[in-house]
Amino acid sequence: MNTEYDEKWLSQLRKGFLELCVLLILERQESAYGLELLQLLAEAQLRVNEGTLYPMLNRMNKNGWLVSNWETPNPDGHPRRIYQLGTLGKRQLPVMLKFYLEHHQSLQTIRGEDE
Amino acid sequence: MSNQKYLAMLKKLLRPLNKSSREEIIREIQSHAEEMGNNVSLQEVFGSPQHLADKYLDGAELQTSFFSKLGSVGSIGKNALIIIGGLVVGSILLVVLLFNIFLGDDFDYSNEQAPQLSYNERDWVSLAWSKPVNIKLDQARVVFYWHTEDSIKWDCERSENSAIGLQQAAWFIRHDSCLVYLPMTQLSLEASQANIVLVRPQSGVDSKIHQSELRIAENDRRYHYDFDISESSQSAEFNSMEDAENIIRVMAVQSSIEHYQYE
Repeated sequence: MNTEYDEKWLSQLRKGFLELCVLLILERQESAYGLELLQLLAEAQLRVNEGTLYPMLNRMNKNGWLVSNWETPNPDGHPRRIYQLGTLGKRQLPVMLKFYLEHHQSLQTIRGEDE
Repeated sequence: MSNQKYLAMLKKLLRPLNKSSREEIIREIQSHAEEMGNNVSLQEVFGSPQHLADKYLDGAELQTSFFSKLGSVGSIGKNALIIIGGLVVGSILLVVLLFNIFLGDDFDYSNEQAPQLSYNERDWVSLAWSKPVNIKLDQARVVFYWHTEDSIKWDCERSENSAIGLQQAAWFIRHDSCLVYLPMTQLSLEASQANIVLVRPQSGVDSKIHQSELRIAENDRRYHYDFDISESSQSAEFNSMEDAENIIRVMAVQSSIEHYQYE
């Protein structure tokens, strides 16, 4: 494997994993805006920068996994783009989670960590 | 790089996306910046505009479906079709590109509160002026705004001295692209081969245009229109109010008069 291939592989894996995490967060708390998602991911030890998260949210929104609307929390505040799970996201989340958990289990088995 | 410049550059780089997607992206980034506080640098937080635009464009639906449609054409002559199609598309793109370079709007000029208008890196030049204004345009592209001050204020792409000047009691703009603020006094305008935008005029306007495009942004204001349109000219429908405060008179020869719409 060359370096470019390594980076691409990691990038794809990370992208898919982050998408799964965002879907999970939005399932748990129904809605969130960009900065809030960044903070929640950081609390879970996932360091994501803005330049990665916002394009990803935009793509998930276009794919129908998320839906968004603009809300202004208070009269003096500025509008926030609030994200929620879309119909496709609600359908996709259990499939993705099952896939991830099964493969995580397989990895543990292969590495001899299975109890 | 200032945040305003960053957003303007990003908006340009996102042009392959449709307008609503582009505006939603910009709005969200602005919202994030406000959330983080005034001193946040978008360049530091999001990386370079090019890098960020690449991420937004990655996998997005772009307007490049032409060649994919050729897949259904039989293999004989497919290469010829691709070459001819490429030439046609190339020619169209070249025309569109040239059109955009010379006539396309960089941003919504009808937005009088647009940050670009007050952008502190613009080289505004101002001169006290409270009399009626006579302006002659020759192959120029000018957006006119009105302000409450007794002055004419302008910013042109070329040197401020050569671009606009007072000649025989008339302001003269030639071969240039300018934003101009006018006092609320009567405006007389003569234009030849010019592209003109009037943004919410706040004075009477008396104009003669020849081989020019005049666009008017009413911005919810009502006007009394008096158009004298020659056969080779065309005009959009304007709702003229007889009792409006300001009259906009236009004598048009081989010209068009349209509502301003940012595209």
